[in-house]
Amino acid sequence: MTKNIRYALILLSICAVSAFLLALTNSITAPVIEEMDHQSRLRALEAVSGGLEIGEQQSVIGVPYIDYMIPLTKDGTVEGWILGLKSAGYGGEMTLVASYARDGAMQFAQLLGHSETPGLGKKAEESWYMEKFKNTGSSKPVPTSKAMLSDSDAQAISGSSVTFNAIAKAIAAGSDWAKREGGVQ
Amino acid sequence: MSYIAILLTFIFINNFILVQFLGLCPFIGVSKNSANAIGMGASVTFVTTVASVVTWAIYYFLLVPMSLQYLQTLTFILVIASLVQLLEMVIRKISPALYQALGIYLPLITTNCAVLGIAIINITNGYNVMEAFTAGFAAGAGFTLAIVLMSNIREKLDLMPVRRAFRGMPIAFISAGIMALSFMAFDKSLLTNLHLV
Amino acid sequence: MKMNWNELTKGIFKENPVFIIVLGLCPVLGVSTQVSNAIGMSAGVLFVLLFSNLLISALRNFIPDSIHIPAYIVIIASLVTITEMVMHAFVPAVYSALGVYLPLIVVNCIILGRAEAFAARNTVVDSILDAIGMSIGFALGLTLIALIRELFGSGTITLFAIGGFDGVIRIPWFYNNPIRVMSLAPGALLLMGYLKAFFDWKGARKEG
Repeated sequence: MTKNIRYALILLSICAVSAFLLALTNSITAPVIEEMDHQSRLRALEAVSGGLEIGEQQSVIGVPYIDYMIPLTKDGTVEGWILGLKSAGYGGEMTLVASYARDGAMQFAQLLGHSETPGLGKKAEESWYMEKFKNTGSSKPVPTSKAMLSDSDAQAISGSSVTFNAIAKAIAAGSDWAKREGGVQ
Repeated sequence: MSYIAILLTFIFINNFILVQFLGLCPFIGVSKNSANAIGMGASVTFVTTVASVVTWAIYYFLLVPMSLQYLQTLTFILVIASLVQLLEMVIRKISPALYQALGIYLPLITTNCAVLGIAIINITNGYNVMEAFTAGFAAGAGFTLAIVLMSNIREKLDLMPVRRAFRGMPIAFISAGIMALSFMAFDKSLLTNLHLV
Repeated sequence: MKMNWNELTKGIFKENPVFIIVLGLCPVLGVSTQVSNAIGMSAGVLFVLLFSNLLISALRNFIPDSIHIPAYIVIIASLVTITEMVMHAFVPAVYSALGVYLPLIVVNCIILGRAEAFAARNTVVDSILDAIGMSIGFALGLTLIALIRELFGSGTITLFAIGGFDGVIRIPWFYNNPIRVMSLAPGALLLMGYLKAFFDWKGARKEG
């Protein structure tokens, strides 16, 4: 009996020391992580805003692919929106932010989080990738299939059509939303 | 995500062994004959299903209210280890026949990446309790599918003239690689084409 | 004090955890799509293995035999959690690339295996040497696989971004002619099979 109590005490002391160390590490790292997440989000929003003023975030409910919207204003008038988009890539969920003009034309986009395969879908992180969608959505349609791309562009995304389709669909959904909101459609 | 989509995802598209490499040690170690493979697969499926629900409950009813999410890894592995012990005792009491069939595999399961893996993936993907249950079962089923197929291949391989350096593990890895190639036929577009996403 | 250098070198070649004893393969195949991930993973394993071997050998007379498994699991899981938190805070890119494989260090057979087979019955100094040797062996194996997979699969070698250098080395011919399957799951399994065959063949020749 006393043996069991001794064993329990030993295990308990190991657990207590571990819990204390973890709490200590957490108290050091948690603020750093929070600050970093905040900063990287701000940087991404800054990068897609195109120099316009970033407004308050509002959630968008009931529209596929669209999570939230942030109005972009210049001298108090709404010039466009940043949309928080979600789509299912090859490796799992992808999140991106994209900005649109009032006529639904996609301005800038940036991938926030993803788990795509390096060498294939992970290319979407690189800056040239989103360039393919720039200024599409108003007069030019968003390229939602490889056939709508030039040969060299199609070559560049070969091997990752799942990723491409996922991003294209999200961007197209965003463009439709912006057109409705902007009163074009 | 519908339940059918979760089943398809974890059994075929993201098969734990052939795509995510979770549970590779028992896959190579216990796939030498099909009887063992079925026993291992059944035990793992049982544990992943139960562990998914239990770890989900602990995370959302214990860790989140106390904002101790950073203890996730520590609590999950302890819960899984005790759960496996408990299951071993219960099965031995209730059904000695089942214990005879599964008993020797149970201790190996604590350190199986697949169990801790599915517990963490359930939380990362933000599943609700029924989705976690489905995912746990599907992950185990995918594991069973791969390990049973593999054991059949290896039983046949034993009768084949394989070069000495390739005998045993190397040829097992290469066979698994070819199986993984065929599993590439299932990808995310399958879900889109079936209108499940 | 006499150092047992054999404890250090055995993990690198004779008992290499990746190719000879084939332990802890989930992370080896899972994160080897990029060299930078392989290095991050190796650093995590080194930290956890070093401290778990150190603590367990130091406490080996304090932890009774009948409760040694739960005690080891608590120690290892705590170390892994510390690694997770530190990586999340200071190398977020590596943290997100490693994903689920980082917490899975807990059930990596190398860590618990070395604790049971070595640290539980050897001195602190020997255990530290064993941990360093095993980690280097693991790192070499993992990096070799990552190097081959990334070179052939995407024609790049990804290291860490420093200053103006974005961390990605593009290898001229390979970058335009990648063998994509190497980046994907089947490539990892096939490569592992061939490498294991090579090391088995070399081992057999040495003995024969």
